[in-house]
Amino acid sequence: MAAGSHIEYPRPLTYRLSATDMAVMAMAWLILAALLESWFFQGGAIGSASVALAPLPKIATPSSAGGTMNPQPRLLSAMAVLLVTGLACSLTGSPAAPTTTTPATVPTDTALPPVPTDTPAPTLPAGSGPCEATSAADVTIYTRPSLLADIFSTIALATPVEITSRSADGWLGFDPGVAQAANIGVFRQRWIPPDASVSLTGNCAGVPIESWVPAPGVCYQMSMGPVEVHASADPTSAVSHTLMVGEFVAVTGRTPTGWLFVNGNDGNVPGVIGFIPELEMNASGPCDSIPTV
Amino acid sequence: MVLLSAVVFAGDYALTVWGARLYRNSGAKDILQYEGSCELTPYYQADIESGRWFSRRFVLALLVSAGLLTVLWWITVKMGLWPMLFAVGVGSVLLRKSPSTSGTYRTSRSSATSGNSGWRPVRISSILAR
Repeated sequence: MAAGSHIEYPRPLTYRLSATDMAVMAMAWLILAALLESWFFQGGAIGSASVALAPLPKIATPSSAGGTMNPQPRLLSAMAVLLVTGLACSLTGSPAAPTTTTPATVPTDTALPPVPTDTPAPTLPAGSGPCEATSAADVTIYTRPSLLADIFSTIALATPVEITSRSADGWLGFDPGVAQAANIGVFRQRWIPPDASVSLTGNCAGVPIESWVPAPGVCYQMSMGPVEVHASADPTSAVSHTLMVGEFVAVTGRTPTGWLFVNGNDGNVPGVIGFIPELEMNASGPCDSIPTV
Repeated sequence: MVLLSAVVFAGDYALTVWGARLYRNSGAKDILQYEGSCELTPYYQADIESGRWFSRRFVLALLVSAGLLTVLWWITVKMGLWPMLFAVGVGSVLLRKSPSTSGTYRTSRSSATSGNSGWRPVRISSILAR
């Protein structure tokens, strides 16, 4: 490299350093994209990788035999595989149902690990009178019928609570009798696990089974009145459906312009996918972590 | 976002011209020599080498870039078709520029530059990565 009293950077070396820089940055953006689940950083990774992986000009130089560049082929190949894999996983990770009502789809965080229980639901008494549950020991009560849901409280049911609903997999639901101004329908219920040590009396076998229950870790929109679902984040776009009271949709994205992306396939209105104004939001669940789309 | 991208795009070009001028005029060239142009992208090499602050080629590229981002916004956000792709597009433009704009020049007092203007292009490969 040294030529006389100065240091000389051959052109191929400059290209190599530049490509390596961009490759490292692409990896950094890719890691950030994975950690933050950010499409913005995914774009940064793709942009940087496109520079790093771009074919370099062939240069005949006296200072480098051959004069062509092949910057870190192993590193770049690995990075390319990671990028493509990451993008593919991101795009296919959303269980968007086929629909003709809207072209929109955004990432969703509704993919859930299996509930860690395979305890069969106990046989329920079919006596007379309302179904009531009591317990001598503490019972963990959940906000949704899943062990992955937030815990509502852990208490002994010294005073009987009336079971008013069931889930298909054996959870027992009751209204805790506390103020729940924004919650409606099944969202007012609190849930006792199927294998909880509770004593049941009354006609528990006759308690209706909910046709749909909310999943843990999902932000839902609970419409308190008619809410129009638009095909795009634009008030002038077509209205594909009007949500009524009792119709619940998952909220999986938020636009910077004040719209929420909703998906009825993860709620109780299959096929309804689109955008609602954020002003109409009446939410339940972890809605602060909705990604911006 | 499109405006911010344009600002970053312009800042990147200005910093590159500034860096190339410093490289030539400060004496650093006598210590570190880079074969060929200071600019790696052939499209910009003539303008960077001549030290032009205003480049018709750059303005054209800026307009094309801003136009493409606007079209992308219209298709993805306005029409609601894959809204996340706009974030990908903006990230691709903004973050691709970050290594070149953030690592422009660093002051160095290494022995290699003693007696000169006190700086050297430590990250020349980053500076030139456009």
